[in-house]
Amino acid sequence: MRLTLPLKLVLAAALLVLYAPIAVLIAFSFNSGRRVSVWQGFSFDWYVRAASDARLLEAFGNSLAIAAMATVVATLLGTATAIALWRFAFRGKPLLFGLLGVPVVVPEICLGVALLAVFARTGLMTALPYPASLLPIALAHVAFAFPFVAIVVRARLAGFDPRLIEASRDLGAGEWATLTRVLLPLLRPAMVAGALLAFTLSLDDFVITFFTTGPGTTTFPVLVYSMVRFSVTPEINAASTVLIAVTLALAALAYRFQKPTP
Amino acid sequence: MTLLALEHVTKRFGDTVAVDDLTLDIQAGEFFALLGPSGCGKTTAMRMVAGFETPDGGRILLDGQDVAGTPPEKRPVNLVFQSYAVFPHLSVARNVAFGLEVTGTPKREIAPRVAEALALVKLDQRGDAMPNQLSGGQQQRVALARALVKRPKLLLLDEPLSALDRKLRGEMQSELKRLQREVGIAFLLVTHDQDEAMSMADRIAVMQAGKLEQVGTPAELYARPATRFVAGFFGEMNFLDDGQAIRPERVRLSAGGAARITEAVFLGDRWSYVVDGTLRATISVDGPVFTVDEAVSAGWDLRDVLHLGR
Repeated sequence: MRLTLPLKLVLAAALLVLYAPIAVLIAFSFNSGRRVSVWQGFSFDWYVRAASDARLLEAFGNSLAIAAMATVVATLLGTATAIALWRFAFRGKPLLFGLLGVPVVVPEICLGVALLAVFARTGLMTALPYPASLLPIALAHVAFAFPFVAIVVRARLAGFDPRLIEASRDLGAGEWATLTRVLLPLLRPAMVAGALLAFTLSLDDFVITFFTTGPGTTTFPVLVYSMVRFSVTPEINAASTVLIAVTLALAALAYRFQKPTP
Repeated sequence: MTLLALEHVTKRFGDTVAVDDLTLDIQAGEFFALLGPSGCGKTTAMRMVAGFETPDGGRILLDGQDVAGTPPEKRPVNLVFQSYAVFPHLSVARNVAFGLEVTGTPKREIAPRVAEALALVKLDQRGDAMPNQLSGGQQQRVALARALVKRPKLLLLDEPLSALDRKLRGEMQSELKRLQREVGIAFLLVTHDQDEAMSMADRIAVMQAGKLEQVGTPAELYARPATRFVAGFFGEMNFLDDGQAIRPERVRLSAGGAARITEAVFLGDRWSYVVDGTLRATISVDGPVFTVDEAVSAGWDLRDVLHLGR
């Protein structure tokens, strides 16, 4: 079917709403002037400024470290949960499946407050010195990210032929060999997709991180928020552009990884 | 020598009895078929032999050893699945090597055995292909090679021809027969198709509603069916009164009489007639030929009459 003119206009408007802000953000990160709304010429100044801002670099590094840790744990936990729900029959299985959806639908602010209450009560937020203080944040990120991995992997398992498991057993593979040689390789695309989801969710999370960050520790979104409260500088644009580039690169990598091997 | 023995094996799923007191034995090197309509328990029986279902009663002996408690991966039995269940992420050769790799077969032994198995099913040129590049028939050959490379004592085949088209089915029948002769392994074929069982198996066990009806060679089952079910399952049959029956080819027709031909169908080498709307008779084209509405009389030798139980 051909796109008629009204449809084309709707498409153009939708694309504008979706991508214009990002395009402006990226464009003004290369602006030589300080003002964020007037173009004054091309330069890399704000990138240089951002790269030499120790606070920004530290926050960026923290975000990446937290996302990496949270992604690994959430992917393992989420995959294990999905396999358990698919493979075994046990009491309370529907309940467990329902519980899996809770962190997905509960408003983030409530989860943040709840985690804050737990962390504050246990002293987890203040007790740990700097690099170790990232661990509670990563733990909080695992809590909201792993159900997403479980849901993605479960969807893949729904279309999985259980005869493949039986064939593996029949050919002499025990539980472990069946898991590592048949089930996990076939789940790999879903695990990669789930991991990427967990990584991006963690990397740009603000609400839960804001509530679970102890004094003296900050992440990129939280730092940007506090910087914006004073003034919006193109330095934030530059840092955000780097973040976008990192995310896109990861997505491209995951896409390549997911393609079936010939 | 008895290779596999099922002794009073029973399996229930909830309230339904899938397999009811099944007793049979399979000899080494034999091509044995479990035949019956869908839902008769034949697949459940096979899955119990493979180790995927646990009997609720009775014993399964393999080479005289009770296999209860032995998991599928430890049984010297391999299964060719109806859906093939070829691993989609492994090449043809890796699929075949799978069963050797996971059991720690020395590397230098794996390659020649894989090559041998692929040659056996005529896939030696396709070792590097991925399963999604293969036709259904080729995928089935992969499943066969993958099972045979393990050199099992017994190969289980679950409806191996049901997913193939008609032409390929005929080819695969003689192919399976050839393979069985070549490797000398006992085959247990599960099928609902009596022609398939007849043309391939040395012996056939007919099952219905979880129970064994009769075991015998194809010729025995055809010539001396023990029950009405078996009699009706193989070929055509005229059921008379009092549990008696006569095969259509044993019915003789002669011109003139009180009966009438109600249907006449030419089948190339013979004519198939229906007399008075019920009695079927097949007559060689060398014999007399009748037309519809012609008056005939039907008769048969008393020794050709079958006496059926139940």
